[in-house]
Amino acid sequence: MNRNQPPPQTPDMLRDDALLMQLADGELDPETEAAVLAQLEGSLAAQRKLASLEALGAFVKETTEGDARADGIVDAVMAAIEADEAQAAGDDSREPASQEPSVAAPRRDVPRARPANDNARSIFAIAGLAAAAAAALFLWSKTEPEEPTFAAAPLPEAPLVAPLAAKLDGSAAPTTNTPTNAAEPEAGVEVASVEFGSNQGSVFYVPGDGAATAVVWINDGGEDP
Amino acid sequence: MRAFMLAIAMTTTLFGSAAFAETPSGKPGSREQGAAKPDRSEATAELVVAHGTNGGKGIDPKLARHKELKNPPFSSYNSYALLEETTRGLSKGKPATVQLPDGRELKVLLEEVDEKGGKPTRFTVKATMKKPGSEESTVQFKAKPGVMFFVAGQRYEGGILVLGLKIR
Repeated sequence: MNRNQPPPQTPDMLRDDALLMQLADGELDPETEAAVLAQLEGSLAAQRKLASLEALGAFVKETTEGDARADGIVDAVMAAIEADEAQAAGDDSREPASQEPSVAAPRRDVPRARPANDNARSIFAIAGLAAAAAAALFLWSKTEPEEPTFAAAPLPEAPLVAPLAAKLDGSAAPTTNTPTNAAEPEAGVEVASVEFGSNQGSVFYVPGDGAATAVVWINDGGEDP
Repeated sequence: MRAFMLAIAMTTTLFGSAAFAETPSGKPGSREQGAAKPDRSEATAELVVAHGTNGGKGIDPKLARHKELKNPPFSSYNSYALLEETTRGLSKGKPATVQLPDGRELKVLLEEVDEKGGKPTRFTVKATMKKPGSEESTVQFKAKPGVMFFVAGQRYEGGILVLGLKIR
């Protein structure tokens, strides 16, 4: 390759981002579309830009499609873009006067002139606003209170509390003063002590009317009198 | 918080109005002079004696209010018949004796009465069952007023005995 040869220039049509956007959105007439596509074959940078535009469009569409809450967001985004462009145009119109500062004038930063068809700023604005809108929708959908759901079936009865350690030898006295689960019904009765004598037995807590009650079950093993 | 404030307001209203109500002596705040303080050394015991079997007859309608009989461990038996229902007065330190159908003797002793605001909040009761010629079984309950507790499982006529005791 000859080093003195200038690098290949991007075809003029491809420098117009609006054309690429229209191409990505399928809004070009067939002739223009064919021409742009023909020029695209020779510009890798333009192909990448087109791919980015298509991906961005698909992302926004996928995020907002079918969600009624997205109504108005697109309009808001476009309004923001137009305002941004209007401001940029205003800046551009004032730039010539500031591009030749006098020697005596205090130094200040002078904005760089940019090509009139360079819409990179708009693309970044679109991308930023679209990403912000998508993020807002995502968070919105996550924070929206869910519809209250009601159990279709009646709640099951409170489970039987497991029997306490049974006093089997006639000496131990199970105590039940410490509730183990705050969700259990409040105990209306507590067994402070129990002596089964020569019998065996268990202590149960069963749900009662509003409060759990105690059942001391004696397995006397005796015969019917 | 709202319920808490409401409770404070109600408590203030109730007790405040009571404290400054006109008493028989005609002087506000002198409740003790005119009203007899309830004697909390006494209580009333309601005793229910039922017979549980697997006879397939279901639960006696007279026992229908005792929903506990539908739950374990009572659900081991499908039929319950009311044998006896009685009320006994209890005095602290003096056991009340009831003869049970299986020959056992049940003694119910009121040991303690916890109070709050002049009302009983919990009774400490000792129930002792003794069969002639055998060791006795003793259970000490701490029961809120009106909550029935049970002693069950003793063999009786192909089934079991269920004793329900409620203190007021």
